[in-house]
Amino acid sequence: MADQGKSLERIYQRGVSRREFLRRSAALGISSAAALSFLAACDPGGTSVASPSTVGGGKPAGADGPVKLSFFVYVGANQGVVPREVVAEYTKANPNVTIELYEGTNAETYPKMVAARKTTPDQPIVNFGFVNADANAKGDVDDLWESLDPANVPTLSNVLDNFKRKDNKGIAWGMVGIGLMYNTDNVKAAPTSWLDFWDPRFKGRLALSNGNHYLSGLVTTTRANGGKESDPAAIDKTIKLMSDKAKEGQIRLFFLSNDQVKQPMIRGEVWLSGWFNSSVDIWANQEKGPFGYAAPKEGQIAFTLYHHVVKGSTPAQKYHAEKIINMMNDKKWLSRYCNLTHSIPVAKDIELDKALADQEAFKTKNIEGAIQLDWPTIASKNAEWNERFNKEVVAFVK
Amino acid sequence: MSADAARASDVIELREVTRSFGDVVAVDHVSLGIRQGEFFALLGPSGCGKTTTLRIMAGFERPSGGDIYLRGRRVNDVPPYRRETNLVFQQLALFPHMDVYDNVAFGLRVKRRPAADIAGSVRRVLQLVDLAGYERRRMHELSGGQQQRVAIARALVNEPAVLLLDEPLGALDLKLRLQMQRELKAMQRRSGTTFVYVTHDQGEALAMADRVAVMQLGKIAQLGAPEHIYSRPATRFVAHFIGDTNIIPVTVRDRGADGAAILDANGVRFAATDADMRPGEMRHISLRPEKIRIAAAHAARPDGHGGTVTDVTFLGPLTRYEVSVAEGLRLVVQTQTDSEEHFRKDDRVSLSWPPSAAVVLKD
Amino acid sequence: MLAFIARRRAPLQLLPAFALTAGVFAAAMLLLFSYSAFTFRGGQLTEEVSFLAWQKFFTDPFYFGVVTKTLQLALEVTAAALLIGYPTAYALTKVRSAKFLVAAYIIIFSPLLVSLVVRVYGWLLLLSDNGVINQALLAIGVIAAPIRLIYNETGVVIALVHILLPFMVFPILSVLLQFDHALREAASDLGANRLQTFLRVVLPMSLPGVVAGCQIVFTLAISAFVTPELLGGGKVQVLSRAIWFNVVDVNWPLAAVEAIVLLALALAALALFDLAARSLRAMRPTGSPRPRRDSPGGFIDAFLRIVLFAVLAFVLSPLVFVVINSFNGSAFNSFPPQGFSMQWYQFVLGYAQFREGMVNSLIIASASTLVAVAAGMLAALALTRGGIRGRGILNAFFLSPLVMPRVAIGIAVFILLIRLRVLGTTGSLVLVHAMLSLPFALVLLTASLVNVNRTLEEASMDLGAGPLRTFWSVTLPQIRAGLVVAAVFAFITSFDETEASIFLVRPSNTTLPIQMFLYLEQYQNPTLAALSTLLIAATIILVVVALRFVRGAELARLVARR
Repeated sequence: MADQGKSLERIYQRGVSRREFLRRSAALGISSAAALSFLAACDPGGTSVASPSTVGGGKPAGADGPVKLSFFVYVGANQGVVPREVVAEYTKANPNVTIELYEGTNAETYPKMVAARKTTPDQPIVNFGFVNADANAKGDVDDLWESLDPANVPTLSNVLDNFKRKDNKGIAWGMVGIGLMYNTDNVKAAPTSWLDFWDPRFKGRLALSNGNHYLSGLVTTTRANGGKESDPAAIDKTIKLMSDKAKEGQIRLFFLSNDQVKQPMIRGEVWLSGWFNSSVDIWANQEKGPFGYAAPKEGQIAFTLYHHVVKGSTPAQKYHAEKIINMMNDKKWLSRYCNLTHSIPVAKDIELDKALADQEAFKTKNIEGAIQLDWPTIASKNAEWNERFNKEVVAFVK
Repeated sequence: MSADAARASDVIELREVTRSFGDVVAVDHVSLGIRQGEFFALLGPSGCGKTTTLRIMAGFERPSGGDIYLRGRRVNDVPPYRRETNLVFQQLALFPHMDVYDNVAFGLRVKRRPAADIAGSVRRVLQLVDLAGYERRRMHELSGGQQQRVAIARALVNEPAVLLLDEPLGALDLKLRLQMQRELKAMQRRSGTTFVYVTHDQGEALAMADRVAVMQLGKIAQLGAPEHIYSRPATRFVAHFIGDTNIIPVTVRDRGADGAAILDANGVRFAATDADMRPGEMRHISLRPEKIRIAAAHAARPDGHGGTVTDVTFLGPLTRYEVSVAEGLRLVVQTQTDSEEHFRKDDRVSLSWPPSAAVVLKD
Repeated sequence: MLAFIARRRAPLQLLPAFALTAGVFAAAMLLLFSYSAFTFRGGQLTEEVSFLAWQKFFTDPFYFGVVTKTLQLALEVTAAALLIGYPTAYALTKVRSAKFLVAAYIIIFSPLLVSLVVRVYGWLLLLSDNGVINQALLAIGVIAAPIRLIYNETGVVIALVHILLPFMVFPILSVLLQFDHALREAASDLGANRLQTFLRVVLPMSLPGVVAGCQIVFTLAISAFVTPELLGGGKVQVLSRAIWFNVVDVNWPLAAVEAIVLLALALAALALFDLAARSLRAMRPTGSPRPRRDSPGGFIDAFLRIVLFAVLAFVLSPLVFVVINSFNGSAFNSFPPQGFSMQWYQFVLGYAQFREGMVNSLIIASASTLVAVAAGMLAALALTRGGIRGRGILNAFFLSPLVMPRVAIGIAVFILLIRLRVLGTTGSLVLVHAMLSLPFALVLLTASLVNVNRTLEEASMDLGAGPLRTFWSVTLPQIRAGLVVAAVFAFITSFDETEASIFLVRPSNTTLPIQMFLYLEQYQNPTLAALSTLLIAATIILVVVALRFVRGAELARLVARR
C-alpha cells in the first residue's frame, strides 16, 4: 500500500502519460485490465487531443470536421431556455458540431474545472459557458480563461465600458444585484443598510451565506464601515464584530444553497439575509412569497456574469464556442435571456420588458452605481476567510 | 494380499491410508477391504477416526498418505461427485427446499437421466423404503423415521457401489432406532448393496453387520465377524468396548499337559486354553461376566474360587453381582434373574468358569 | 474436499471485490492522501511539497475542536440510538403477529429506503419553529413560544438517529432472537425478579449485539455530512463539513489531512469496539438462564408496546408529512397545507430531467447492483470458506468505503477518473456505485453464507453434483433471502447516491437524486415531495415484492449480521 502511494505520487509529480499510468496501475494491481477497458469502452469522447490554440481569426483546421463541445449553463428558473434555442439554431447551421449542455452551479462545478486544468490540461470538463464574478476571478488566478477573438465575437464591442475585460478574456453580458432580502410578513420597515445585519431588531433572525464572502456580510460590512476587502486590518475588525454578534445570538443559521435560505425565510424563522435581486424578484413576484428586496443605501453589489471559453479546448472547439458566445450576446438573444431570467444586461441597447425595465435594480444609475468589488482579492482570500469565518464566527454562534 | 492389484472381491480397499489434520493423526495407516454385498460396520468411540475413514471413502477427505481403491480403481483424487459411493449423513442433510420426490430424484437429475427413468427409479426406491405415496411431502412434514428413510432412498436410488452411512440412527429414540436397525438390515439384503456403517453403538454394529472393524486412535484394533469379536476380543480396548467384561492382570505360572496355561491372578489360580504364553509372563485376560457361574459357598465345585458378594444390582431379566475373590481381585458376574439362586451382599459364594472363557489378550 | 476446492480458488474469488475496492476506492483515496504533502497558499494549490497542511491541522486548536465535536456528535447519536434501539429490539422479540412483525421491520428499515432530501424535508416540516411539533405544543399550551428544534444539534441528533436506528436495532434483535426461548421465560418473570433477570441475564448476553450496533452507528455517524449541515443550520462543525469546505476551496492538502484523520478515527473506533466485543465475549455467562415461571408481566409488556409504537411513529412521521405536503395547494412547503392539489404530480411526470434522471438511475443502479452482488458473492465465498489468512484485515479493507465521507470519496475518485480520462462515463459511475454498495452486499452475503448448512452441499456433491451445480441447486436456494436483501441494499445505495456522484456525472448520465438536487437549486415547491411520494410508493412495491422471497425473521437475522 505504501508503495502504491509513493508511485501514485511520483506519477502525479512527473505527469506521466496515460499509457504509462495505466501500465503502472496494472503492475501495482490497482486496477485490473478488464476494469480499465470497461471504463475506456464507455468514453463519452466529448474531448480531444491538446494542441496549441491559435489566435487571430479565421477558421482553424478541423473546424469543419466533427466537433464536440460541452457548454456550461446555469441551472435555475428559465436559465436553460435561451442556451437550448441558440444551440439548436447553431447546430442546425453547423451539423458537424454537437453540443452537450452541462447544467450546474459555478460553486459546484468550478472545483471540477480547476481539477481538470491541473491534472489533464488538454481535457477541460466544459469548453465554454456561463461564469459568475466569483468564479471569473478565481479562474483568472488559476489561468482558466482563453482570450476571445474579436473577429469571432464582434459583440465584444457592445459591452458597457466599465464591464469590459482586459485582453478580451471572456465577455461580460449581464449582472445581478446583491442586496438585502427580507421577510415581508415580519419586517414592516424595509432594511436600508448593509449594517442592518447587526441591528438588534434582527437578533436571532439573520441568515448568512457561508463559503461566499461577498454574501456572508464580511465584505459588505467592511465596505459599509468604510474599509476595503484588501485591507487585512479592516477584515480583522469585521470578523471581530461578527464574532461578537455571533456570541450575542444575532445569527440563526448559515446556508450554502438557495434552498437553505429560501425555506426558513418563508417559514419566518429568518427575516434577513443578503441575496440576489433576480431570485428575490421571481420568488416575490411570480411565486407570491413573503419576500422583499432592498438595495442598501451603500449600493447593491454588482455580481457580473460572463461567458468564457476554457483553456485546453482545441482551436476548432474554441472557434465554435466563440461563435455561439457571439450569438448569445446578440441583441435578440441577450434581451430574450435577460427577460426570461430577470438578469440585468451590461451591453448597450438591450430591450427589456417594461415590468423589468421599470424595476429599481434595472435603472442605469443602479447598474452604474453598483459596488464593484475587488474580486481578485476575494478569490485569493476566499479559502482563508472561510477558515477564519468557521473558526471565529460560526464556532461562536449560540 | 497382493500389493500391486486390488482384490477383485473387494468393492473398497484402503491401503495404509493416513489422514492427519495438522499434528493430529485422525486415521493412522489403515488397511482394510470391504467385500461386495456385505454389511460392514466401522465401530469405535468418538474421535477414533471412523467418520474420517468414511469421509475418505466418500471423497470428502483426501488421504494424506496411502491409497484408496473403489472397484479396483485408485480414487484418491476423485471428488465425491465423480465417485460411485453415496453417503447417508448423520444430520441426514435433506434439502429443505425440495419435497421427497425432488430430494430422491436429485442424483439422477444431476446425471441427466431421462425423466421417465427417474420416475420409475424413484417409485421403486420409495417402495423399498416404504414411503410410496409420500412423494410431495416436504421435509418438515415427515417424522424422524420417515426422514431417515428418505435419506437412505436418496442415496440408494443412485445404485451406488457402496452405500456409506454415518451414524444415521443417532438422532432417533431407542424404540425407533431398534426398528430402523431391522429395516436397514432388510433393505440391505433386498437391494444387495454393500453398506459401510459407522457407529459408536456396539449393539447396533453387532446386530446388523456381517463384519465389524473396531477402531481406536485412528487404527483398526480388530476386524472380524461380530460373534468372533465378542467372544475372542484381541485387546483390552476391544474387550471393554464390546460388551461388559472383567479384565484381569495375570501371571503365567505353568503350562498344563493339554496345552492350557495355568494363570495366577493375585493368588487365584485358573486355567486358560489357547494360551500362547511362556511361564513367568504377565498378561491380561478378558472374562465375560455371563460366563462365570456363581454358587453358594456350601455348594462349591472343585474348581470353584471362594469369594464374598460386595454388591448386587438388579437389571430386570439379569442380575449383576460384584464378588471379591481375593485381595485386589473383584469380579463382575451376571446371571439370569429367574433361573439362578439369589444372593445378598456379604453372602459367601463360589465362582467358576471353563478354561475357554478366559480369553488371553494381546496386551 | 469442498473446502479444499474453495481454498485453491479463494484468491481468484477475491479478485473482483479486491479490484473494485483497491482499484476505485483505495487508489482514489491514496491519490487524495498524496495531496496532503502539497501546499495551499494564497488561495492556490501548488505542487510544492510541504507539511503545512499537517502542521496546520495539528497545531490549530480549532481543528482539535472540530475533531472533538465530530466525536461528541457521533457519541450522542450512538447513545441515543442505543437508548431507543434496545427497547425497540426487545419489544420486537415479543411481537406475536407475523404480519405486524414484518410491517414493523419495514417501517424501522424505511428511512434507508427513502432519499436523503425527502427525509430532511420531512424533518424540517416537523421540527421548524412553526412546524407540526411546535404548532401542536403551542396549541395545547405546553409552551408559550416555539422551541428551537432545528438549526442546532438537537435537530441533527434527531435526524441522524432516525436514519441510523435500523443499524442499531437489527444487530441487537438478532442476538436477542438467538435466545428467544430463554428470553420469553425471563420475560414472564415478575417484578423485581424480572428486572434482575433482565439485568443479570438478558442484558449481558445481548451485549455483543449492542457492541455491533454501536460500532456501525458510530462509524456512520462520524462521516455524515448533509444531515448535520442541513438540520444544523451550518453551525455543527464536524470533520466531514471541514472536508467539504476545503474540497470546494481547492484546499485539497488540508482536505486530504482531514480525510486521513477521519479514517484513522473510524478505524480506531472500530478497533476499540472490537476490543470491547472480545472482552465481553470472555465475560459472557455460561449456562442458560433459569428464571422462575410466573404469570406474564402485564405492566412491562404494556410499556414495551408503547415504546414500540412510539418508535414506529417517530420513524414514519417525517415521511408521512412529506406525503401530505405533496398534495399542498401552495407553492411553498408550508404547513398545514393550503388546499389540495395534484399539480406537483403533473409537474413531476412532465419534467423531462426527472425522466432522464430516472432512466439513468435505473441503468446505473441495476448495473452496479449486478457488479456489487456478483463481486460480493465471490468474496463472501472466499472469506467464509477460503481458509485465507488475514480475513479480519481483508474485511476491514472491504468495509472501509463505509467510513469515509462521501464528499471525500467523490473528490478523490474524481481526481482518479479525470486522470484516467474516464470521468463522466456511465461505466465509471457503475463501478463507483458498485464499490460503494459492495460493503453492504459483502456483509449481508457473508452473514447468509455463514448460516448455510454445509452438510447439504456435501450431500449434493455426494449425489453427483459438481461445485457449480451444487452452488446453484443447493447453496443459492439457502441464501436467497440474503441475496435479495443484498441486491435491494445495493440498488438503494446506488439509487440514492448524491454526495459522491455530484463530482462524477456528466449531463448525459445525470442520475435522479442529482436532478433532484439541481431542481432544488431552482425551485423550492412541493414537486420534490410529490416525486418522493412516488419513490416511496415504488419502494414499498419493490420491498413487498422482495419480501415475497424473504421471511421476516430471516430479514432480521440478515440485517443484524455485520
